[in-house]
This record gives sequence, C-alpha cells and structure tokens, in this order.
Amino acid sequence: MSEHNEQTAANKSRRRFLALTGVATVVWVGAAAYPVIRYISPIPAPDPFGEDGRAKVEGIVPADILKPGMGKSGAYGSRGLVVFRRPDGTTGALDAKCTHAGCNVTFAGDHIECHCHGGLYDLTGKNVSGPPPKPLTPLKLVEADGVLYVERVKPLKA
Amino acid sequence: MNYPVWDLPFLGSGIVVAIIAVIHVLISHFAVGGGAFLFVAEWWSGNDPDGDRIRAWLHKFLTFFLVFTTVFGAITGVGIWFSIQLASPEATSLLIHQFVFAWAAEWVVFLAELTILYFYYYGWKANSRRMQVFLSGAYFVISWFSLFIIVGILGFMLTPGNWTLENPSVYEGFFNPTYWPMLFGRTLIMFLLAGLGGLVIASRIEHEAFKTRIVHFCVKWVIPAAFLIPIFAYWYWTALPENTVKLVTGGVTGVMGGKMESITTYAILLSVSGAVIMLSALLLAIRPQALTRAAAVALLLVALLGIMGGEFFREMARKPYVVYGYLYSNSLWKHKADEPGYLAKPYFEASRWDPPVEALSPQHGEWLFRLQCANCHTLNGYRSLTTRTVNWSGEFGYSWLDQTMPTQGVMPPFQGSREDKAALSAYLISLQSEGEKQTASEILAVLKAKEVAKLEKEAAVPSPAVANDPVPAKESPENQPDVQPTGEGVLP
Amino acid sequence: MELDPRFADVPEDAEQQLPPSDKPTGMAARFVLRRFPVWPLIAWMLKKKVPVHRHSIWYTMGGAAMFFFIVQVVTGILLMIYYKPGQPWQSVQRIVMEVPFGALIRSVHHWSANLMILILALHFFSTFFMKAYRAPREFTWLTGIGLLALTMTLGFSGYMLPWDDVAFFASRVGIGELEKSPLIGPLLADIARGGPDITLDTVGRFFMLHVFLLPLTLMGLLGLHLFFIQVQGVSEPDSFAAQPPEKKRYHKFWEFMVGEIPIWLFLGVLLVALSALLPRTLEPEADPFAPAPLGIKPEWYFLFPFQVLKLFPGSLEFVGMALTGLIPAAAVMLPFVDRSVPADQRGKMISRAGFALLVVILSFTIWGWLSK
Repeated sequence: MSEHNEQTAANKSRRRFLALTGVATVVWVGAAAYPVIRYISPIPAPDPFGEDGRAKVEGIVPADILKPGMGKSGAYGSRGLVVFRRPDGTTGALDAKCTHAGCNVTFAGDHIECHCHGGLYDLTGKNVSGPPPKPLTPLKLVEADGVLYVERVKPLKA
Repeated sequence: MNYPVWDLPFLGSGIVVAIIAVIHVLISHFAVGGGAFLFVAEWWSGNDPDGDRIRAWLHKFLTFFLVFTTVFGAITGVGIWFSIQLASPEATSLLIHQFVFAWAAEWVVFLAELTILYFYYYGWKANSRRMQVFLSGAYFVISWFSLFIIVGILGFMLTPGNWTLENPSVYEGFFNPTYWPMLFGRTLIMFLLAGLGGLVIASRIEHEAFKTRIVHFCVKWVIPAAFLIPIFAYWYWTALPENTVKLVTGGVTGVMGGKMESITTYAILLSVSGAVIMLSALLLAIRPQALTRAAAVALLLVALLGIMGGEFFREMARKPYVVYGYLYSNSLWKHKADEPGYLAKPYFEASRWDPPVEALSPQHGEWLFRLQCANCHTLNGYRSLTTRTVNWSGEFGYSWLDQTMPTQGVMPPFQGSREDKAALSAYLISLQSEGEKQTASEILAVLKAKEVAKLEKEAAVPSPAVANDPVPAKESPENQPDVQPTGEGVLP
Repeated sequence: MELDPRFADVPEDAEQQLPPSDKPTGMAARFVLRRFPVWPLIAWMLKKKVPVHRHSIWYTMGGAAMFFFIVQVVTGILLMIYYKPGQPWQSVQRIVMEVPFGALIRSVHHWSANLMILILALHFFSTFFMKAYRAPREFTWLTGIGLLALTMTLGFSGYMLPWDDVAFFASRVGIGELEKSPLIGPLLADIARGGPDITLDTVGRFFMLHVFLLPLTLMGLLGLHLFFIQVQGVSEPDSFAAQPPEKKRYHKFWEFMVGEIPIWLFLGVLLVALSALLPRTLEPEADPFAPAPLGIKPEWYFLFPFQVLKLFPGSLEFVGMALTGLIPAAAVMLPFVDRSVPADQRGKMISRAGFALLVVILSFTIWGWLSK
C-alpha cells in the first residue's frame, strides 16, 4: 500500500516537473516561432510624410492644374490623391481613399466621384451624395522648385 | 605564411579562430559541467541501492569524458592561442598586458584540474568512495575557476565597462558589465552540455529500467538549465552596447543586397537550438526508451550549432571593434583615429609593417587589403570582397572608401591617403572578371580632372535658376528597387 | 467495452494487448478501435520492430527527407504569401529586403531543398547497398524512384521562380537539354516553356507545377511509399538476418519514431545555421537579351548528367543521353533482377556495379563543380 502511495507521489512530482518543462518549452518554442509570426503579420505602411512632414506628389506636375477646372489623380507615399484647381482659382488636394469602401476617387471637373458605388464629393472634399459617410481627408498642397508636395492637415469636422 | 600577415585565402583568419573557438567552447563547457555531473553522480551512487551499476556506467561516461575533453580541449585551447596571435597580434598584446596574472592563473587552473582528473580516473578502483567524491568535487570547483577567469577577459572585449586607456583598472576591466550574466549563463550551459553528454553514453544501455533511470538523471541536467538560461541571456542583452542592439533589431529585414543582418540570424539560431534541446529533453523525459545514439549525437550537434549561434552573435556584436571603443578589428587604435589628420596619413607610415611596394601599383592595393581589410574579409571566400565590389568603378570605389566607409557602423574608418584609396580601389576592381579596369593613377587623374572642373565652375558667374522641368512620373516603389550604391550585394 | 468487430476478427484478448486505459496511448487506441475496424493495423503497430545493428543510422534517412519536405511545404506556403508570379523578381526582392525575416525564410527554403536532395541520395544508396528493394519490397523502391524524380523536378522548377539571371540561364540550359531529347524533345520543351522562349509565361507554368501539381503528386506517392513500409515492416540486411535469433536486437517501432524527432530537430537547426552562415543571395533581374553570365552551371544535383552530356557534343548527343537514361532504367528494373535473399553472386555483382556508379557520379559531380 505504501509503495503505491510512493508511486503516486512520484507520479505527481513527475507530472509537475513535466508541466514546468512544458511551460518552458512553450517559451523557447515561442522565441523560435517569433520570426514566422513577424513574417506573416501585415507589414505596416510607411508614413508617407517624411521627416520634414512633407510627401512628394507622384504623377502630377504644376502644369496639370494650371487653370481652374483642371485636376489629376496621383500618389504620395503609398497612397492615392487627387489634385485640382477650383473655379475660384484655389488649389486643392485630397486623399483619394473613398470613405465608404476604400476605392480611389476620381476628379470630375466640378466635383469628385467614386465609381465603385456612386459616391459624390464636392471640391472641398465634403461627402454630398451617395454612400460615403465622411468627407475625404484634405491635404495641404505646396509647390517648391516646380515640384508638388503635400503636407498633413487637421481633418475637417463632418 | 606571408609574414607578417596571416594570409588564409578562402576562410580568412577570423573564421579559423571561430572554428577552433566554437569547438573549444563546446568541449570546455562540457568539461566543467561534466565535473559537476561526475560529482553529483558519485554522490548519488553512494546513496542508491543500485550504486554499483550506476558507478559502472559512470566509468564509461568518465572514459569518454576524459579522452574527449582533455585531448580536444587541449588541442583547441592551444589552437586558440596560436590563431588569435596570428589573426590579431595587437589585440592579443593588449589583453596579455592587461590581464597577465589572469592568464597565468588560468594555466595554473588547467594544470591543477588535469592532475586531479587523472588521480580521479586512475584511482577509480583503488581510491575510497569518499576520496572519489572529493576528487570529482574538487575537479569541478577548480575547473569552474577557469570559467571565472576567462569570462573576465572575454567580456572585457565587448564591454570594457569603466576601464579606460587613461585609467586602465584591471579590476574594472575584469568585472565588466557582461561578466556576471556570462558567468552564470555559461555555468548553466555547462550543466546542459553535461546532461547531453550523459545522454550520448546512456543511449546504448540495454537494460530498460536502468536506461530510464539514467536518462531521467541526465535530463534533469538539461531542462532546468534550458529553463534558466533565457534569464541570463536577457541580462546579457541589457548590457550590450547601444549600436549592437540597433543592429540586431534593425536587421530583421534585409540589408545590403537582401541578406538579413547576419547578427540577427545568429540570435535566431541560438533561440532555435534552445527550443530544440528543450523539446527533445521533454520528449526523452516522457519516453526514455526513445533515446538512440543517433538522437543523442544529434542533440549534441544541436548544442554545437547553438554555441556557434551564440559565439558568432557575440563576435558580431562587437564590430567594428575587437576591444569595444578602443581597438578596431583591424588593429587601428580609436584614440589615434580620432586624432585630426591621422586617418589621412599614408597607411604604410602608420602601420607596423611597411611593405616594399611601388606606390599606386596593384601590389600597393593588395598590401592595403592584407593589412587593413583581411582581418574580416577574404577576396573570394568568406565575406567576399569581390562579391561586394561587383559594380564598382574606380571613382566609385574611391568615394566609397572616402565617404561611405566611415559611416558604415560595422566597419572601422578607412585609414590612408588619396593614393591609398585609389590603389585599393584599383586593386579590387582588377579582381573582377567583368567590367572596366582602371589603374590607381588613372583613378587619381579622373578625380583630379573632376575637381579642377568643379573649381572652374564655381569660379565662373553662378547661372540663374533653371526653369522647372516636369518631374518624370516614377514607377511605383514595388517595380523599381531603390538603387543605393552601397557596395555590398549585387543588385544594380 | 466492445471493440468494433466489423470487417475483421478481433481476438478475445485484444484489450490486454493494448497499452493501459489510463495512459494517453491506451485511451487513444480504445477511442479509435471503438469506432473504426482497424484492429489489424493497431495489432501490427504493437508488434512492429526496427532492427538495431551497425547500419541502423541509415534507417533515419528517409524520415529526414520527409522532414525536409515538410519544411519545404511550410516555408513554401510562407513564401507564397508574398511571391507574385507576374512580378517574380520584384516580389522575391521584397521578401528578402522588406518582409520581416523574409530573407531567413527564403534561405531556409533554399537550403532545405538542397539538403533534401542530398539526403535522398544517401537514402537511395543506403537502401541500394542494404538491398532493401528485394521482394516483397519492389514497389516501395519504385515509388521511391518516382519520389526522387519528383523532388528533382521540384528543385528545377523552383529554381527558376526568382527570375534572376542565374535562375533564368540555368533553366534555359536545362530546358535546352530537354529539347535535345529524340522525337518528343522539342514538343516537351515548348510545353514546359509555354512557347519558343522562356518568358513570364514559363514562370506561370513552373509556378503551377512547383506549388501545386508536383507537391500533390509527391504527397500521394509518399503516402503509398510509407503505407508499403508500414504494412511490410523494415527490411533486415543480410548480415543482420544471418545472426542467431537471440542475438538480434530490435527497437520498438514507436520508440524508434520518437527517437527520430531529435534528429529531425537537429536538421532544422542545421538549416537555420546554414542560412546564417551562407544566406541565399538574389542576383540581378533576368534579362533575356543579355548574354549568359560566365560559368553558368545547373545546381549541383544536375551537375552529373550535365557533365556527362558535355562529353558527347554534337551528333554524339544521343550517346550521352542514352547513357544517362540507362541509370533510371536500371534502377526501375533492379528489384526484378536482384531477387535472391541472401544475396547470391548476381546480387554481389550488382552491389559492386552500384558502388562503381556511385564513384562515377561523385567524380563527375566534382568535375562539373570544378570546371568553369
């Protein structure tokens, strides 16, 4: 009888030892699995605005928005944008990601439209018709040495 | 041997030191851990009813242990001495002069431990049980002292701590920031290796129940050590120099032609090895009969690779220095390099060896390579320079040595005059199978012409601002890789 | 509790033969046996043994190859997350330079491919010299030959996917050799390439082969191969079989398999070590109009046939092809030609011929490696 108790006690302590070992194994294996976890995790998009807070506009030159009513789609960092000149002569730049389902919007003369579900925005970026729930993110357009840049702007209140 | 430079074409002196040293770490750590193993086993056999059988098995272990550690330990230990002197005489000289009594004590310790070990082995039958227990314990304590000493010197190289050139306190240098984590961490590694060595000898035991007992005994050396080592590894990590931490964490993505920073990979090797040893030990704890000789040897090889990961990591953590903050890997003293104008001096004036070469000849460049670069690079083998200079033109090579190299982070600054840079650049591009060749004089001539043109331009009336050209649309980043003239890797 | 007796007789004392019901293995066995009529299989697993002798280490080679294959599948799945067949070079460049630890995963994939083929060579020759192909194990051997061919094709197809100039030109050389085959050569080459030249279309075809068709076929054949081994047991070499019964030592099969795990784990660590010491580089993007780089060679496992074919240029090509083709033909016929257990004179001659072939293969491989 006492031998059985000894055996059970030995079993219990062995089980505890193995449990501890199991925990330690999980920790070690976790460390080894870390590279794979990092690998499959989505790569965060880099901040388009550089150290000086300014991102270069790709695909659009000042000549593209010389006159009111002209506008073009381009890119900054890894994001899309539309740049245009309003009828009153002021320039505008808006992040092209539609606030409905993320499609890239297009400049359409006197307004901006999204072809995916028919959303419409005015030239201040405000959502005026269709599914989009929020305005487009505005950007501050600057020109330096004939090259267009955009900078961050605090978002409009909807 | 090309005196006074140890010329090893494919491997390079560093890798030879590495091979000898990694094997030596495996053996020396097993030797010390094995001492503790013998002591505890002796004590266990005295208290166990099956003591005689345990002792008989222990004798098998001891025979393997004695031959393996004394023979290969001595060969590789002396091998380290020979190879480091040849690879880096300046650094070896510094270490000897700083820690001369530590080195001397180390040799005394070796002598003592070997003597005790032979008394222990040859007195196996004649000595009393008490004497055997005493001898094994004494062996462990004395051999552990060899770790106590060597870690001071090894840690000093990476983290000299409060030791400075002006105030070279041996005490501060010896008990440096990485000393204590290494001391405890390596002691644990020693116990782990002893367990693995025991498993190798246990794998051929035929009696099932006895095999289970011995396997359980050995696994108890492996698992607690594997459990505790990460704690001291973390402590070690916090003591590392800041630049090293940046390298390791920044090395997660590819650098320089797509190779992930190797220091990060070696750290991964270390953690993967540990995970494997942990898993396997768990497996063997549950199923001791599954231990075959092949499995046990495989685990020992895993430990060897883990040691390789750790030691390579430590060596890379120290780049570009061989004594951090004071002596660069190619024997350039930092305090001299910081002196204004020192780095621009002709190299052979400052170096210890002034080879009889004609200025600007290919031999000029070759000797510059041998004296300044060969400590870490080979031409066609390890860290090959021909691979890293595939797209070099003469002028690019010059400007790389002149401007990019000082900002490298893992390399010492280039020491030499304009002629030296031109000569080395010309030599390196002459080794390429394709591409234009230029002699050093040609490079200098081209650079001179450019400088003259630049001066003339600046002297003339500055031209008005050029009208804006339309910015050509750039392809999306995915299609066009960044063309950085980094000199490493083979991307255009 | 009754064990399911449908389709097979379950003896009265079956339950006693199983491990105790409070142990996990016993619980698992009872769980399965109550639902599925697999008593013969379980009974077999209980009895199965692996011979222990001086050459036992070779029994681990097949399992090691399977381990490398598993690594390939896992790293291959990971690489597929970011690899784009329409932009092969750019996507591989992104993997090695931008994706966290991408360079490591890619290097491991590369090294595991090479080590898998190396260990298959060891597995092939060790089963040859131990004559494990003899009846009743002929189909184990034949499926093995098929697996070797599939693995080398996987290697060839995968090699091209990064679309760097080494990949491009090595594939061009390889398909060029295929094209020289009599009668169907040009047709096969056209289908492989998707046209007269190697283009991105070729990448599409090789990608389909490499990630879908070949692995699927391989897994099917491997399943058969393993099934045959399980039901037939591990073969005993002549020297072991000749020993008196009381001297023969065996591992219990389960113990042997668990003992293989540390070996596999060691191979995993070796892959990481090789990736640390010798990472796989990405050469510049393939330019079909540029001349081939100097000294372009196929991967080491194709060096032997490549070197042989180089010896027979021009109109003698067919001789070279016939010679290299003799080897797989001989391998397929082997189990039907060498049948005697223990080995007779013919068996001994075959062993010697095999040894000579091994020496030839090694020499030609080294020769191919050293020549420019």
